[in-house]
Amino acid sequence: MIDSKKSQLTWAGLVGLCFIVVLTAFGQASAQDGNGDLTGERLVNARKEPQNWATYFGAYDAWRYSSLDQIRADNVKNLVSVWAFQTGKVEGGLNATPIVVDGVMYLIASEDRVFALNAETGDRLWTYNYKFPRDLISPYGKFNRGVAVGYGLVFFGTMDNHVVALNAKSGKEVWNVEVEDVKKCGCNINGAPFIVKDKIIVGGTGGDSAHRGYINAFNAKTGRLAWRFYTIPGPGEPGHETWPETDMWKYGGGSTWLTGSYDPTLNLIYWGIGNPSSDFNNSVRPGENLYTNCIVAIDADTGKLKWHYQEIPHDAWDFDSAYESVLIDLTRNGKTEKLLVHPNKSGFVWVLNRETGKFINAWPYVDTITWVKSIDKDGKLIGRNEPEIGKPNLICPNWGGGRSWNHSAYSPRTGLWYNDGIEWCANVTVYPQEAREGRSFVAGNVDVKPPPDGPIRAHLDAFDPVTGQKKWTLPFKYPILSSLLVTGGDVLFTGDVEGRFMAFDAKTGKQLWSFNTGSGHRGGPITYSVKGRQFVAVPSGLGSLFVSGMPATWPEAAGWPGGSAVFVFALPEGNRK
Amino acid sequence: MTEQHPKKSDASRAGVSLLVRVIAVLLPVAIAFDLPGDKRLERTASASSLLQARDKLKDPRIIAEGARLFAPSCGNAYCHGTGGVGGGAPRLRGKDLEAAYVFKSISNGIPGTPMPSFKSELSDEQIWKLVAFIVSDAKTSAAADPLFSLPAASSSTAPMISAEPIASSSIVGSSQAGKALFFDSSQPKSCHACHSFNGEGTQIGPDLSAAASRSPRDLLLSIIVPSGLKDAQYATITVALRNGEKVVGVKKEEDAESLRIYDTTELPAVLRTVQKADAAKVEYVNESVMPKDYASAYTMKQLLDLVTFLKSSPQSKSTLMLKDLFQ
Repeated sequence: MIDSKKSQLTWAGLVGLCFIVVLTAFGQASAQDGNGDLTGERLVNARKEPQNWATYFGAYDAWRYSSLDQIRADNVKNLVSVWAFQTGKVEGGLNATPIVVDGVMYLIASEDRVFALNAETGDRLWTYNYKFPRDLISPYGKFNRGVAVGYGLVFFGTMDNHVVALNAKSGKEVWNVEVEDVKKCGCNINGAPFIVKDKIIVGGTGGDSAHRGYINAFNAKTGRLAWRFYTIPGPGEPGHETWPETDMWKYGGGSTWLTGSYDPTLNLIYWGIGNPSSDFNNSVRPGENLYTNCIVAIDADTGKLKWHYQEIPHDAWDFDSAYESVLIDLTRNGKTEKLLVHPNKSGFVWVLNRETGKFINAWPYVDTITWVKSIDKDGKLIGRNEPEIGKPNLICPNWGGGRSWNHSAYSPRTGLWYNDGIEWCANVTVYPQEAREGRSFVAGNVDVKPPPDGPIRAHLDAFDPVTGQKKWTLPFKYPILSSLLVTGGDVLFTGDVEGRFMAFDAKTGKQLWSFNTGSGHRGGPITYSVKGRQFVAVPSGLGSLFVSGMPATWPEAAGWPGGSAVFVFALPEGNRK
Repeated sequence: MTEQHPKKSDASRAGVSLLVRVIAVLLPVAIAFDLPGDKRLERTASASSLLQARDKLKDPRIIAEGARLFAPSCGNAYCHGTGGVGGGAPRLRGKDLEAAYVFKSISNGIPGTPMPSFKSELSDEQIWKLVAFIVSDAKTSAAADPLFSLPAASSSTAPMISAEPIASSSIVGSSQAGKALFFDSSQPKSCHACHSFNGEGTQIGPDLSAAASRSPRDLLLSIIVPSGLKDAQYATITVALRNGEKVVGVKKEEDAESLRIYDTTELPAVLRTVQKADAAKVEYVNESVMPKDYASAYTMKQLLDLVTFLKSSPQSKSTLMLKDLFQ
């Protein structure tokens, strides 16, 4: 709006207008500009703009924390619902984390439908419906975890393995690149991309089929491939020797299905790499199978590997290392250490030095672990309990993980890391299976079983992120499948599978507030502010691979209603302080 | 979600023949999908094979064989779970599903869902064995048992991707090896990133399904010296943008306001929507955008394999020797 009228304004008028805009509604002006000024440089300082939730995890450190503190533990009970937005299709639920930049919310729903909304009122600005082939076989379902926003564009991956950039102002397509033919690779993109400098970084699925995983970096403005990091080294590359002398390296999985973190001072991207395939039959791939089940640190400019740390060599349990890498700086004995705290499906949290990749600690976030006896002080797995062909074996935690992919939260105020856990096991049966490119390559069945000491159960916990010392715990009947959010007001938010969106005291775990949104929670709640008013937004709507598997364990889950809506809350207008 | 699968109707219980119902289900499918004639014939043939399958659906031996097939093909944790009681995908057993529906779903897959087609890897007979197990009342636990009697020999450490042995003489082309190269997903600069063959791949450059009619020499030259263009549709377009950037590639489509161009600067190609208002200059050159370094990127044997693959068709297996490339 300002651009189009610039020529008609006097300089004095222009300066005056800018002054008023800055004073009153800086965000609104930028929003109408389509966020063209949201660059990689500005995203580095996302923490300095708490009014925005500018990246998938809120900032590059993957804390899922906002310093906004208008809503606090002592007033959160007054929250009221302000607006709601229905995406219109419930199949696939709503798994996304919305992005809010300068008063505009960008949301992606199942079948890759993208929406821009006025974040204050919920008014819809535009809708983009992705056209995917009608005959598409969607390998993991129709959901999508989120978009990335910057350079005046909205980026997302698709069910048929494209990466698309839309004009943030109009919702019209700007570029579209097919990463790989979904029919050939059996992979797709349902994780949120993220912007690092001038590039958009995207992972993909494919770890449970015969596929060679990778991380792609595209030039954000043009869509041209800038670099590709293959998660399985090819012939002649270091690490290739950790695969047998067959074609297994081409079919060994190592998917990159979630979103990475970034340390701007080290210029390193951290990404958790998925399991090797076939998932359960590791006899077809003797060796450590690098870089599956690794945390990799990659140079953001070149895509070259700086270091890797393999949490579980030669995996036999489908225990991805795909979950979030939480970047925490910790001062101990007068020395500040740059740490990476990483929860794994296997029920352990690994703590690494993120400059060097050196192992610091591994500690359990669930009580029931039988796949390994212990992890020693050097990170070595002691007493591996592997399922074998023809011999079913009780493995805890269940293949579904000590928790699902929904993300943890870290508060620099409390120094606590918040996470959920599930106590459950499975009888795992392994069978031989041959690799066929792009086809399912799991080679195992699981029968969900309760842990030896009681029924299947879940919990929400607060830990010291380095030592694993538990500060508080809350029991839950069903797994928590929503990501967590913690704020500068010391409130921890999350939702349960029956529809309750809940607020807890981050220091004590005491439940302070709850609101039933009518369908379970599988996405990422966020907080942001517009014109000085703090909002909390939560996606509501069950649906995902994990959810569709729940009725086998919890028959009543078959009756839980689907949904796909965003609910937004704030303190009543007259009650902000 | 579970209610949408057709269930046995009273009519079926009253004894309407399975074959009639299967044909009734499959023929409309063939027509609805507008399959070419030969494929429709295949479908009818598969329906006729049901005649023998009809009585076998209740045969305990067939059911047991189906259970054995079920485990690796359908029963994994991401899919229908041990014995078909539900994993990431819906429960199948004990739901009174109609046999013909189950057959069709396994054979064709269910578009819009994660259920893939199995007709390329399982024979009709194997699919019917699966159907027999899925619609049977065989206990889940019993169903899981046959797993353990699987011969250990099948747990080969080498993946059995290639059925066709690489020819002992290195100067004979292998269409299997050529196909693997054409669809090589382990590098971005692979034929299928721009070309399609028999419905697979990408349609940025010409579709190569009919390449078999061309001479081996012509095909070889098209790969290693790709500058000549047979079809102006694939001419190189260069758009100089007002912001200084140049977009080089192949035009896909154009309307009053914008050009849609496959930018082939890097592969995979990027489909860019360029507003005409942003373009300072648009130029076409009658030359291919195909990379010009395949003569050095591939070995002679690999080029022979590629040409052998392009010359092959479902009807004929062509045997090509190195010398054929130069004739």
